[in-house]
Amino acid sequence: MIEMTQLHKTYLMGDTQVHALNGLSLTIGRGELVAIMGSSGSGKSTLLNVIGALDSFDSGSYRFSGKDLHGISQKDAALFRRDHIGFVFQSFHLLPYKTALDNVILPLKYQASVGREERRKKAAAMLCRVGLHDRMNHLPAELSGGQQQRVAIARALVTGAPLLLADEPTGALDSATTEEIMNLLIEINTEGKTVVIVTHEDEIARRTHRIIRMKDGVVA
Amino acid sequence: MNIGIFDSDRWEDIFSHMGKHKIRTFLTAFGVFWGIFLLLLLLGAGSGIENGVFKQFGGVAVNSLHIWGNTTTLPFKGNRPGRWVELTNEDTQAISTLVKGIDIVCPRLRVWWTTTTRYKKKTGSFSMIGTTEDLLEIEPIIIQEGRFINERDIAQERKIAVIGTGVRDILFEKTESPIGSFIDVNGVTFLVAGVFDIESYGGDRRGALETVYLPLSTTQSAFNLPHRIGWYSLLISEGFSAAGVESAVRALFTARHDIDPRDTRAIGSWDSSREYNNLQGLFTGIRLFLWIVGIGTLLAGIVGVSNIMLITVKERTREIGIRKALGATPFSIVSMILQEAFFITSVAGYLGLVAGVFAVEGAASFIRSQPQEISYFSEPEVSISVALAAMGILILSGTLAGLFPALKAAKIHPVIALREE
Repeated sequence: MIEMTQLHKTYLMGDTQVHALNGLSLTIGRGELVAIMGSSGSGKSTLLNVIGALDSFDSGSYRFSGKDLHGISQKDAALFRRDHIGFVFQSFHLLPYKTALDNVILPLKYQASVGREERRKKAAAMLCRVGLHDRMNHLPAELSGGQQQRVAIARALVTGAPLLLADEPTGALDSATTEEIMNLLIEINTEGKTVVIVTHEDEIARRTHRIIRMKDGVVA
Repeated sequence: MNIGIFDSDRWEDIFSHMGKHKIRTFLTAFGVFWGIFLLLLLLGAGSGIENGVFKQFGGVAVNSLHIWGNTTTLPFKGNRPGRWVELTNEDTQAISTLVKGIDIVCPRLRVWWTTTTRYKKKTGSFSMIGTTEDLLEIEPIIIQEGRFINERDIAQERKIAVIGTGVRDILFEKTESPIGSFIDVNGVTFLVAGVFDIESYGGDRRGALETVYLPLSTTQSAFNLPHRIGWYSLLISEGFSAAGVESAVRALFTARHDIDPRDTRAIGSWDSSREYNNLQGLFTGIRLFLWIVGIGTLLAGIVGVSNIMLITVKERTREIGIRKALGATPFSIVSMILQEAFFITSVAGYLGLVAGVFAVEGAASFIRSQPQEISYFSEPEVSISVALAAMGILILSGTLAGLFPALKAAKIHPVIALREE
């Protein structure tokens, strides 16, 4: 699904050049459950952003299901994310003034073919799928951390994107809730989705199929 | 696409976002409301002053030329300066046949010495003017009772008089109709055939109403002014300029009365169209000024909207990042911000437009209800074309207000936006 070869990405922080990705090469197959680990500054978040086309790269090759993503426009990147990627963030990134249901509806609004009623149905079904059928009309502030992350996972899954990218999805949760969320991610993977998780936690990483360890912008 | 302006989810987004910032939204909208309201109020006031000033012209024909003889100031053909240029019936004939571009030639003759008019025991001193039926085409005369002078009065030198309401009020009792009564002017008896009023008038209204119009021929014979004409009021034909006609009449008088062609002061004239055009020019300038001030005020409101939208974009940076991560294209972000700015500007602007029209119309109806006319202010109005122009400005300004913040929002890098707290 993902083929990266000799990927380079350099940031300028003040006057200093930071080589976030320094000739990185990796492949991730369809249906894999992968953990990306590494110390702070090793480039794992940058890698996740590049995989999800949230960020561009300077050189090298990145093919997603055969499609070359080098130099794509902002618009094409947005459409790529809409159709292929579901994001789950450490701090959930839900819109605070929208209910759980409306938060899950949000990505469907950017899909031309889905009507208003269908959007509501799909979003409601997805919230039921993550066990929040009784919390649909609650605002994020009225939900626990675990519930908010479930809403975020429902939002990532609702468009039917084949790849779920989770950046420290349990970083803000207690251990019991971490276990629940991890179980949910494994379930999702079992149902056929490719799941890539950036994590610091060995416990989480150990439950994935494969651990990619990063150091200084390359796979260690 | 579901990102269009008809998408109800988009409107829900806008309303819920505005609902979170009610006071801010209200104040922003008020800036636009006030701008368009003031624009219309200014234009309404401008039109009120303009209508009021032009109303001073009343029914005076704006394409009329008034011309008379003065005393000469230069010697010519053996004549000494200081000679009075005496116009006569022959001049009337000459103007009518020799000068092109005149629809109506209305000769007038004022009895310049003091006259006493008597009815029963009441007396008064009024202007006595001999004229023809054509005066009705030039002066804003309204016949209240009876009739005006006609051709047979002139031909038969009838001793009839048409008196102003001022004359009537002085000589007659309120319950009495003057029509058919006989008045005595310096010993000559005239039958009152009509009573006239005038529309609002640039000059001395009271003086104008304390006037008695007599048939020209009767005036010439009764007051021993044979063939004399005091001045002419000429109605200029369409397609001819008053200035051209004035030159032609001056040339005619100069030749007929042995006046030095350089002696311009020997003939006096007043061109109503020149006055009218000067005023038109002045009001074009005033209108332009009012538009500039009004649009300036409106622009201040628009800048307010733009400013608030910039703050909104800054506040919503993380949200924009989230939306981008979920698949929002730059266009959908631009249209989201534009739509909100456009909504605020349009709704507030429309309300301002309605309030402005109501205020102007309210002022107009208040003025109409006043028993006494207000000088130099009449019928303030906002025309449909002005309202449409204001709507056009609104649409344009709503778009402009949102464009800069929207483009800024579209450029936000999602990774950086997601790090915002």
